[in-house]
Formats: sequence, structure tokens, C-alpha cells
Amino acid sequence: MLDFLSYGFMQRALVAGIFVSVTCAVLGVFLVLKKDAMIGHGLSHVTFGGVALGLLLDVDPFYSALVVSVVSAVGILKLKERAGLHGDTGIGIVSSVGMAFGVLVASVAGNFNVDLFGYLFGSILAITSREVWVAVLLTGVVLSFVAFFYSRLLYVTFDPESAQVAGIKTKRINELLAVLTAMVVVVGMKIVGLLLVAALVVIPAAAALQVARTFWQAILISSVVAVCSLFFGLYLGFAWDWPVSGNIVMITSLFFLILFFVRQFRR
Amino acid sequence: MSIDSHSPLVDVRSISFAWHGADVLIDVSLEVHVGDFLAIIGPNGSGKSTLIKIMLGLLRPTKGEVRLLGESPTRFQKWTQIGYVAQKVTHIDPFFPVSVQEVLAMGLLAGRRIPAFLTRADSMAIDETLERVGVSHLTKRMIGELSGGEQQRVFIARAIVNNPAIIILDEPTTGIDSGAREQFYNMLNTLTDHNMAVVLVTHDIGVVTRHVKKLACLNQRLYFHGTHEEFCQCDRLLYPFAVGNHLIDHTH
Repeated sequence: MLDFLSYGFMQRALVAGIFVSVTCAVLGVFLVLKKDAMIGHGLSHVTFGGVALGLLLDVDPFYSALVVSVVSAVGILKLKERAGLHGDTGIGIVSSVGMAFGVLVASVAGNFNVDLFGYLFGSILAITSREVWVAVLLTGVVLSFVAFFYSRLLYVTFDPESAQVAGIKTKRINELLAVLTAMVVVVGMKIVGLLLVAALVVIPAAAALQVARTFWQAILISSVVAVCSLFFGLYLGFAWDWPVSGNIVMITSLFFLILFFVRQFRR
Repeated sequence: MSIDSHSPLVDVRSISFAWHGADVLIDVSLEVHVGDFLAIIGPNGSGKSTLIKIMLGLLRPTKGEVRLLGESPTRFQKWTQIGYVAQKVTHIDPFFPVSVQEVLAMGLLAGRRIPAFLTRADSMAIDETLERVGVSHLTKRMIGELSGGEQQRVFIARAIVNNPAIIILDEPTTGIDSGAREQFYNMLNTLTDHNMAVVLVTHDIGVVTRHVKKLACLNQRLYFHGTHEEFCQCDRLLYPFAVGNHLIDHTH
């Protein structure tokens, strides 16, 4: 079964995939509990606009997507604050504009449909060594942030009003969380593509929350679900030539179903 | 940290607040001192919760100013001296995976420099605080599994775990049955025995007036601010609660 790991491209895919999956899984627990799960979906749409912009300007789409995604993440928060928009409305606006911009640019430019396909559906098997290091670095940043700010993150997630009265800079924490999510979405687009990266943020966390009894358990279970989904997704892609991004998300969903039934059985 | 017992812990000076052009609070002034047990009462929509939020810097008044331990809330740093139990805190997600101990750890670590981790001394402080509010047997339970009354006690424990100078509670008896309310107010009374000021917002006039030392009657304006005895003799009670109310005070 482990023969597929003898190939260099599979090793890079696995290493980068593990780091990105863990990052998505950890951030996902906070986002799902904050009821901000849709921000990953919204940012993936905006990132599409950033990728199209990069291809149009003949700039590395990774960097154009990163800038657009980070700016949009902060923009979504400001919209919520200043325009008095509730819940997902700000996400809906920004993501629609980003996606529409990407469609416009792609249509006007007309000659990079193949490149766009790779960004939409992922190309984990074409991951370069540089991208592996980017994934490792990003994971280090996210996990350091979570470790350093854990008690504050937990307080802001659980009870934001009381956290603010306790002297925690809740706005800053939310902004940092949004920016890190934006970065994760951009790095994750290579693994599962823009259409499915939000699933990596949401589903492992949702699965973990079916059974976790402490926050650390939730983070750990979410990470294990994400990594196992990645591993088996890669394996099925190698063994049966199925698209890896689809495999990963379907396996993650299967884990969610299993843990859902475990929870029902416990009752 | 030493607190000057002569200066007010909270000093609200001529606060007014309007929301979309409608007056919510008009020229409200009051002080809270060390050891006070103050209830702010009023009908729904009287501005009670708004007043609390202005005191805590969650909202800015359109006129007037607030001082917390002598400082403006926007510049205030000593938040461990303020304990707060929000109004809707018992409407938490029942599946949120935190234990009672973790809830108190949030309050304890919030004022510390990062990275902040729980020490053995912190765990002991958490246990002692839970003992104080009568829920020490629930340390490892998930917060979502507790009853409304138990959750409320846990949130009070979180608010007092740093031994603040003042604890402010917004409608704390929501979700607590009438039998448990007496115990609840008795528990709050014991906090004032340790010189902690308690301010609570409620529309539950009947029970609370027997337990508190001071009352403030609010309905956009402050109609009364004084002791329970003065409250019982004051006919101004009728104005904020509309014509037709009578005050009957009896004990068994």
C-alpha cells in the first residue's frame, strides 16, 4: 500500500498536504465555533479573482492571490463593522465580487483556461519543493499563533463580549484569524483547488466537534481527520486514478458521517 | 492591587445615549463604591443593559463620561479588577467543547502576558473559586451539559477568579428558577463580605430588593438611587413603571 510514497512527487504532495491539512484543521475549529465557517468559502472565491489577476498581469498567481485574499479578509471584517452587515452578508458580497472579477478577467484574456483549471480543482501532484517549504512555513506561523494566543483565541471564540471586557483586543484577534485563513486558503488551493479548499477548513473541524469533549481534543481530532483524509485521498488517486482533491473531500465527509453516528450512538 | 475605598470604583457622570436618534439614556449619574451591592432595576427597554455596556466601554455615550477606577474605559488597563457576566451568556452553544475549568482559565489568563499557560497555582485558584460559588464538583464537566443555574454560577466564578474590585452582572437570573434565586442572591451577598462591589441589572424587582443594599431605578432617566429602605418609602417608583403599580413589602 505504501509503494506510492516511493515517488518524489507523492512525497512532496504528502508533506505539503499534511502541513496544509493540519493548518486548515486547526483554524477550522475556531472558525466553525465562531460561526464564521463560510469565510473560507468566500475567500476561495476571492482568491479566484486574485489568481486571474496574476495570470493577466503575468505575475506569479500565488502572490497576487495572497494579496487579494488577505485584503479581502480584512475587508469582510470592516464591512461587518462599518456597514452593519450581519453574519455572512459581507462574505457574500466580497466573494461574489471576487469571483465575478475573476470570470471577467478570464473571459477578456481568453487564453489561460488550462491554468485556471489547475487552480480551481487543485494540482497536488504537481507541488514543487518551494511550495512544500511555503506550506511548512505557513503551518509554523499558524500553529505559533494558536499556541501563543490560545487562551485569548479560546475566550474570543467562546464569549467575545466578555473577552473584550477582560481587556482582550478582540478586533485584532479576529483580524489575525481572518488574515491567517486567507493565507491558508491560498496555500490550500494547490492541494484541493479553490472550489474545495473551504471543505478542508470546515469538515474536519465539524467532524471533530461531534465527539470532542475538550478544545484540545477538537483540535487534535480535526487534525487527525484532515491528515488521514489526505493520506487516503492520495492513495486512491494513485491506485484508482481518481482526482485527489475530490477523494480528500469525500473521505473527510465520510469521517464526518462516522463521527456523527458515534455521537448519536453515545446518546 | 490596593483600591482606594473612598473613591468610586465606577463613576458615571451625566451619561446620555441615543440609538438611531432615539433616546435610550438621558443624563444618568451614579457611583459605585467598594462593598456596594447595587441593583439597577427598570422595565424592558429602560436602558439598563446599555448603561452597563457604557460603564464597561462596550458602547460610547453621546454625552457625559464614565470613570472606571478613575480612568476612562478606553484607556483602562486593569481589567482584572472588573468582573462581568453578560446577559446572554447562558445562551451558549451547548456543544462548545470546553470544560468548566477551561471557562475559568479563560478569565484567569486573559490579563496575563502571552503566551499564558495554566500553572498548578492557577488550578488551585480555579478550584477555590468554584468552591466559593458552590460548583466545585463540576470542574471537569462540559459547560454545555450544565443547567442554566449551574452555568450562571460558573460564569460568576469566571468573573471573580481574579478577585476583582467589582463584578457587574446583566440579568443574571435569566434561566434560574424562583427557588434557586434566593440561593443565588445569598451567594452574591457573600461576595460583598470580601469588599467586592456587586452591580446587577434586573427587571426582577420583587426578590432582588430584599437582598441588595442599594437600588437604582432607571427608565431612560435615573428616578431613584438609594437604599432599600428609602426605596420602599419613595413614591417616585410609580413613574418609571407606569401608573397602576403598587408596592407591597412583607416578610414571613
